[in-house]
Amino acid sequence: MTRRRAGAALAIVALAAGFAWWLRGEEPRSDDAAHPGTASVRWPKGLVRSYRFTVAGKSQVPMPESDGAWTGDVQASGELELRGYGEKDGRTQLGLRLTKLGTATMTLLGAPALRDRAQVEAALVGPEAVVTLLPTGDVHSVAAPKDASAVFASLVQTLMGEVQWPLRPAPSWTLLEVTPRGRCETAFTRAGTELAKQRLRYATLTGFGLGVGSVRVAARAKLTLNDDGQLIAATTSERLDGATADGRPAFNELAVTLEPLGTGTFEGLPPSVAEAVALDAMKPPIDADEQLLMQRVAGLTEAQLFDGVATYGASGFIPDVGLFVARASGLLKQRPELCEKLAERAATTAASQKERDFALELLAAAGSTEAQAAMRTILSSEVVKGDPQRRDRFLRLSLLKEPTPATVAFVSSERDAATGQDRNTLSLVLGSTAGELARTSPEAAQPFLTQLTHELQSARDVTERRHLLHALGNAGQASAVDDVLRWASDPDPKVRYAAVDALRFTPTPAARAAVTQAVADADVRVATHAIELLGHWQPDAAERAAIITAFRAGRLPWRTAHGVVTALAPYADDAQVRAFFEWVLTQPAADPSVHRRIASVLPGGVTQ
Amino acid sequence: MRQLWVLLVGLMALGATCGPPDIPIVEDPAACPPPTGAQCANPKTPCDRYFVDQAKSDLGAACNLLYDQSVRSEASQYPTQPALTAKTFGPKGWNEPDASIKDVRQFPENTRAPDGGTVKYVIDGPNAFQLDGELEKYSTPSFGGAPTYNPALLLLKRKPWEDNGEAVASCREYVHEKFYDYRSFVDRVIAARAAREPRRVVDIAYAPGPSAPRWAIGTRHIVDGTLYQRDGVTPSGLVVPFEDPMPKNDYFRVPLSAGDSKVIFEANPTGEDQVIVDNLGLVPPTIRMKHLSRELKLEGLVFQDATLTPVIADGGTFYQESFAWHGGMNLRNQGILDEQLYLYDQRKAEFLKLLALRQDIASAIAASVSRKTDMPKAVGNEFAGAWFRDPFWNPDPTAAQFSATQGFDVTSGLNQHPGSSLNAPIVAFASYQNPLVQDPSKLVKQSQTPAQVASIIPKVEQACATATSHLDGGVPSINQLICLAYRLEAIDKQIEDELKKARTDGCLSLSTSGPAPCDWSPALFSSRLLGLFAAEQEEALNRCLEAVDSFTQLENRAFVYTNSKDAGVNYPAQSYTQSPSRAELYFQRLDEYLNVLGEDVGPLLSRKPDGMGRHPLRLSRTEGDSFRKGNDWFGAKLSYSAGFALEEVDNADECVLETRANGSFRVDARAIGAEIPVLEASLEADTQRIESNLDIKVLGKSWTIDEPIGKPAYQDSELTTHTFVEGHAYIQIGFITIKVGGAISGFAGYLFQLGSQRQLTPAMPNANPPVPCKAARIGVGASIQPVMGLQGSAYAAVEALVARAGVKGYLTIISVGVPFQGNLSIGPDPATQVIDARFELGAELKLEFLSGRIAVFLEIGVCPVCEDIEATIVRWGGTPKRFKLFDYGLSVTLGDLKRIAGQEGVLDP
Repeated sequence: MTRRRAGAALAIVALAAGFAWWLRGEEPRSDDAAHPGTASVRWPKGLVRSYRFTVAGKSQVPMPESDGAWTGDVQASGELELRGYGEKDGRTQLGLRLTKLGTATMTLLGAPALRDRAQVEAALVGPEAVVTLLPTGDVHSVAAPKDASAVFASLVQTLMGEVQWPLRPAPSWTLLEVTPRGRCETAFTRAGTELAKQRLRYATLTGFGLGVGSVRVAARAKLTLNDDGQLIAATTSERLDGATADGRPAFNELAVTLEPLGTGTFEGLPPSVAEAVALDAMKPPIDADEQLLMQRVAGLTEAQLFDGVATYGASGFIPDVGLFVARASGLLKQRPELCEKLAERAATTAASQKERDFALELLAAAGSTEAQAAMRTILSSEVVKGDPQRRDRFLRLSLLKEPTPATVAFVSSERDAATGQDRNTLSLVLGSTAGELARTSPEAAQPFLTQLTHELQSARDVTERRHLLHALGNAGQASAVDDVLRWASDPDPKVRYAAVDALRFTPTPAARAAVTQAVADADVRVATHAIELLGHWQPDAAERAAIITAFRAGRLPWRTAHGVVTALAPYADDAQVRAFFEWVLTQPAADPSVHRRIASVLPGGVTQ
Repeated sequence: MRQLWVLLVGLMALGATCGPPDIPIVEDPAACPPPTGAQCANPKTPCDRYFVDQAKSDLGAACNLLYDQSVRSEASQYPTQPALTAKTFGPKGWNEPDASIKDVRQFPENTRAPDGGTVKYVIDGPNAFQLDGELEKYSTPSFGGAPTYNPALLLLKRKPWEDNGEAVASCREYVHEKFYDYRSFVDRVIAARAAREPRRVVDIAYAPGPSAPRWAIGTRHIVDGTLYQRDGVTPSGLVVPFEDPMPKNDYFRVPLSAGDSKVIFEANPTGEDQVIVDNLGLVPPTIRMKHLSRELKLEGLVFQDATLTPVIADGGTFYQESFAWHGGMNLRNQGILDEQLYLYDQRKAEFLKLLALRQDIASAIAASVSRKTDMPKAVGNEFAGAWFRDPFWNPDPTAAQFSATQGFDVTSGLNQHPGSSLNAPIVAFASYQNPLVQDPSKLVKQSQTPAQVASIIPKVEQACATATSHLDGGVPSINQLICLAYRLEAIDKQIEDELKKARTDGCLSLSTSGPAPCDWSPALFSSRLLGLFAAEQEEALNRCLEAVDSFTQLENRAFVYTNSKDAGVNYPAQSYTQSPSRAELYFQRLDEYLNVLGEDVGPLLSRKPDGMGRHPLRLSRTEGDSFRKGNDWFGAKLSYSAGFALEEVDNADECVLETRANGSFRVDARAIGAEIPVLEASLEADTQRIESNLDIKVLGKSWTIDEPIGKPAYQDSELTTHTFVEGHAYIQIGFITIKVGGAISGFAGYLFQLGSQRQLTPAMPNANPPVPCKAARIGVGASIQPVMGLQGSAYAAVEALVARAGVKGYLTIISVGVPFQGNLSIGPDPATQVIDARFELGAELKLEFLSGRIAVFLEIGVCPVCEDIEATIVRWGGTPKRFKLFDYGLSVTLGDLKRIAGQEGVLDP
């Protein structure tokens, strides 16, 4: 390697590293003139390093609207190995496995929680996870064996999250570190073989449940590396302190130590693992969804399901219908074969209309592939074909959160065969289902969305045009915004209303501009809807100004005042909004409650 | 008798000679072309005669209609014709009548007043021009100048009022019967064309007989002077302004001096005419007159013939005027020709003119010498040291003031006299110093010629100047006050001379028996009784017109209402048309009702500019609010608004009335960090476009946007159950992760009904008479009831190595129902044909937010040897709300709405 060639290689490495920083949103420091050590990790294939580890964690997360809190602590120690499997796709693969479990204790809600040490040991000792490192040592992902327990996977994430040692060719640097508790701005300082890191502030936070906002970080970590960038030892500690909105404290402590035990070599291939995930990906129990589903079903039996459907079908009422829907739809997820069985009855004349609707709704709530097939069965039945309100039955398909391509195609087919109001209603359903499908399978949904867009341009009358606009609104695809905007200035206020409404899920800049313009629409209903929409979109200063201007100029009648207050109330601290509210208070009100509402939201009361 | 026979034979012969009458009987009246006014006035053809004969008994006959048109046209040309005062509805509500809009004849029906408002009262019948002007009207109408109309038809018009007894069926009948004693008398005078024949007026009033008719106002009230309503029992409240005491006759109205005068008139034969005014007011102003020949006092006469004084004094309070007195005087003077009596009346009238002139001069003198207060600061500087020059504070400011009102700068010449010796405030050479008098041309506005200016100088000044110049041998008078004083002296002398003549004629006799031709004549009675009570009658008429939209309405009207402040009226349905008193009871109860109703309805009324310079009255109400409850784990957000409006309430064109109802509702639910709009519903129905707008979304997806275009009614309902929201979150303890999931399930739906109608009878502007647009019924009915019951449940999943977790309990996230019902319609009540607005408006929010408890339980250890731990993760106390947004159920006439709007403080608190 000539000097020149070496310089070029260095430049390429530096560029690659810079590109990697850029991709990760890092902020490289400028004081990297010195080159204190290698900025990459080399972990030869077959090299294994053994460590003694300890993990200690303690948490308190307040429960919402109660005095209780999720509290617990966990401690574990033992020995582990990091095994080099060489590079794959330019990334270093390390195996991590526990070779020995020392202590393992846990309390949850103040009680010892680990059921059986032998089971715990069996779960933790033996399985091997694969940790993928970038050349710089950043942990790209971790992957546990498919049959490994979530506890093992979570432990691996925790260990690697705390001891990760991303290197940069500088004495110090700052980057956004991905940790099991979120993404944190972390400062690194390297001096020889010593790497110190200090977590400064979390940009995102996980594992704190909900309702805990920002946290204070008290963390310190010291790692020892060798010349190849391999981890020799680590001592880390971190405490996060936060609070809920009502002031109740929350904290999370975690401390990890790694002490070197030795090195060796081995031969072997990486273990078979499940899908790799980032360090901040939560690792709930593998059977978490099953657990949740089981709790949701809460012991509802097949017989109780059918009894409940029949009861509701006969009377339109069952106690705690909300819980029943949750349990019954859970059961239909749990036992997909029941979907078809439910459809068989609902598709006959033996079922009342209410029962049929209820069956469709339960199936929609279940939402599974089988449930959707059962819905199609019901909707294709002769009894529904003879229903004059058949289109209303189809509306239940709009409830699907994840419609399958088959379901969307079914709607499209039925729509093609329908005329008049039936077709218009099915346009709405097609928009809803195709839009949801587009979230998971854009290609599959595109033909249907394109069809709606094309039909909009060639709609024969206002009613059809409005329904197609609302259908595109149901779909909520940003790609349709331009097609919708063409109708935002239509002479017919109903078309303008539909166009504004169709933008509700797609607040693109162009859509926001059109809706802002609609605030001053000559038709009160269009203007009112535009105000509501901006309110839901969280209006910026210019949009708020448009609302205020239109109202003060008298272009908005008083009956829009409630919509205006609802849209602007969250911004009562803003001087412009405050001044506007105070002006409204000086106006005679057709509705005194508007004044009351304004007075209640103005911070610090009304200034004179 | 022989002569009679000769006449009869002669007439027969004439008939035989001349053949049949010139005007044959019309065989086919239908073939007659419509008559003209001239033909009705002077019938010549058989058809003309047919129409005239028809008019004698048929108020709707062509000639009568033409007559009415003529009256309307003619009456409109009377510049001083009294007329109904019209209140107008302007931007600020009801305006009191003013000079520019007082006469409703200025405005055709249903047109607007000058301020853009609508004339409230319009001519509603041939007798509706005026009440106090009917005498004039019925004595002067003509077709082309020749009186042709038979005023006796008035009684024909009154016949329905007479036939229905005390009942009242219109505001005019109400006024007629409320003031029945007087009105029937006046009607009789009109019908007899007697208004200008005082003797006949007296004869009508004092018709003889043991049971004199009601119109015999004199005869019937000789004993009891009270004027009654139609029932003859209830006083009408009218009091004829009889004098009591009353001078013996007008000669005795001469003022006599009493005590010291406020102005001293001194003879100053050796000096000059002079006015001395003590600016401090300590000494009475003194006018020294070089040529004074008799004693003068400002307040009254000092007779040179001292014998007149006690006579005048004794006759000053001689009679007690009453119907009995007039009747008695009629008898006392029955032996004297009326023409003789009228001669005395004429002389007395002339005498009264003298007295009036004296009063004017005395008042002018008094005003001129009255002590002035300090000058206003605004003019103080300009006139400092020359206060008498100020046009307002000059002792004789008449000319200057008058000129000022004509636009002249009366101060322009003042600077021509700087340092004048006239600054002394003791002696004011008032008008003499007035530059206007000195040289009016100096003050001429450029647009006026000197001749015009001269013409506006009061003639009295010219005359006075001429007179005084004679006295002084051609030297102009030095002061206008001097001039006035000399005029006072002259008039006093003339009055005394007239009294001496009256004494010669016996008019100063104090006899109490025998003829008294100077004391009474039929004209005195006629002038006393005719033309009275215009204000009272118009006030009563306006009161009635303000309160009544249709008398049909009074036949069975209930006033039953309890307002939101628990104030109420409770007058069951009953008739108020039996008598004027009953009608007045109606007015009274209506006031009570409106006051109570106004508490609720008044706040709903507003007046907003419509961008076209109008401020139409609107009855509207909107209600709205938003609630947010919960946290990131479970929560819900609700916003709603609901309202209704009745637009153009005070528009005379009832076809522009518009009703509207609207409501919107939105609930967002949140479970474990996931939030979604569960249900959105908005509904608007109005009658302007006869359509409704509907937008219902479930989970943010439009479900229904249909509107019943062209359909009279539309209804639909949907109720869907679903698991609307699902979410999850993680709790991390060390390296143990707990997954918490949650879902919100339940039902959400709506029921709505819509209906609108707009039934109009279109206007026919080219019809004769033009037919305005009429609303049969304009209305909108809308009800929407969003219903929702959402329950939240949570689940927890923990690594099986750790524990088995489960969840107990559930939450009621939100339970809400907003039954909003609005039915508004406007149209004529089938029974009364009065336009009313019917409201059935109700909205009640039934809301329960977040109640219940969810607890997580852990089974730690291997059961049955395990430990159960339970911890509450969510517990809400619930915030049930149930309150009425609004609740109105009433039927209000548009008239009542306008009346409430006109109440003080309703629209402009």
